[in-house]
Amino acid sequence: MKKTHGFVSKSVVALALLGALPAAAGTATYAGALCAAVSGTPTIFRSGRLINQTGSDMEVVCPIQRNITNVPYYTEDMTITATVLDPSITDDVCCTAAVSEADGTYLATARTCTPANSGDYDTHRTLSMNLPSVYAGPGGYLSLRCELPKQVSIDGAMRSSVLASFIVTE
Amino acid sequence: MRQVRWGVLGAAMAAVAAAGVWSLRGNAPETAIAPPVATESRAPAELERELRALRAELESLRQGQGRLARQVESVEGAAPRSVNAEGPPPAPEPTRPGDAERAAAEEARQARVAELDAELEAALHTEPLDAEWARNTEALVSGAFQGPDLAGSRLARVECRTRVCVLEVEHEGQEARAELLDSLMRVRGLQGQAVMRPAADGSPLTSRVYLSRAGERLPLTLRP
Repeated sequence: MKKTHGFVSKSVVALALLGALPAAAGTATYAGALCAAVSGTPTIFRSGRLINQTGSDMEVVCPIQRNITNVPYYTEDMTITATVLDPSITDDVCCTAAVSEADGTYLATARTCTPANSGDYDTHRTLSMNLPSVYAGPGGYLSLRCELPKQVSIDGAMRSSVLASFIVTE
Repeated sequence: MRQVRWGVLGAAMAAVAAAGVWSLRGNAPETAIAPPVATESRAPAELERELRALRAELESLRQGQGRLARQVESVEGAAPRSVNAEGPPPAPEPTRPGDAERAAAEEARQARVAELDAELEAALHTEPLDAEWARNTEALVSGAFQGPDLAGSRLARVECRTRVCVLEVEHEGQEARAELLDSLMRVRGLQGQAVMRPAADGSPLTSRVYLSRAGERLPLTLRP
């Protein structure tokens, strides 16, 4: 009985250790509402979409959680895809994915914008950013930053740029 | 004399009693010395379960032993050797569990970073020159460093080929270095991937930046 108890205890400890291992990297989705304003005051809809309903351009930064605290610090291949709405013909929605060292120093970025001189207030676009395979040191982190142009008037109605959601794939 | 007689008689009786017990034991059925009944009555399934559990435990112990052996090897390998053989041995550094694994992982990370840097450098030396794109992009980058967004950083050199540009940048302070990539990539016309590395001289206030052409990846071979 004693032996059995010892074995069960060890099994429980082993399972607990397995549970404490960092979560495997994988695909994760986030609502735009996760992002914080760098400049301007965004409007958050109940759906989780983040909207620039102001007359000024706006910047937001979105933290990205990674449950890997030991190794590897950064994967070989990572893509962040943002779903945005860009109604403006003159301005673009641009997003930059970044990997930074623990002290905040940018180590690598990937940036993309909606096509220049085109706007659509009805159909969302996806902006895909593939980060170069750099290896941040311990504590390095990822983030997404997006620039949302000011409201524009189209056919008598004010149209807003939107960051609806983003997906992290690795 | 009478006492001697009683003593001999007692010894003889003890010998007879011992012989009797011995003979009884020799005739006893074998079942009398068999293991406890509980063992025999255990179901084969239970024994099989126990065997499986013991095997798993053994395997776990083997793995643990292997990990410990590797840790010991790496700690011994990383330990500095004393140059003064006659001096007292250095006090052992306190180590925490997993330190050796972390050190090994950090070594592997740095090796991979060096490999990636070498690949970027090789591309710069072997890529053909797209003269028009290179000229335009170099002008765009040079112009960006004249503006207020990149104040605090000075462009020492820029060279573009077909898909890649390399910039050598000097910074007034760490803050300017920390924000360089973001400020640079906000320049209209620059899109794609960017990587910042310390400059070859190792100074904390100089950087080497690699930029990819818009829509292109930096020439880095991904590992499977």
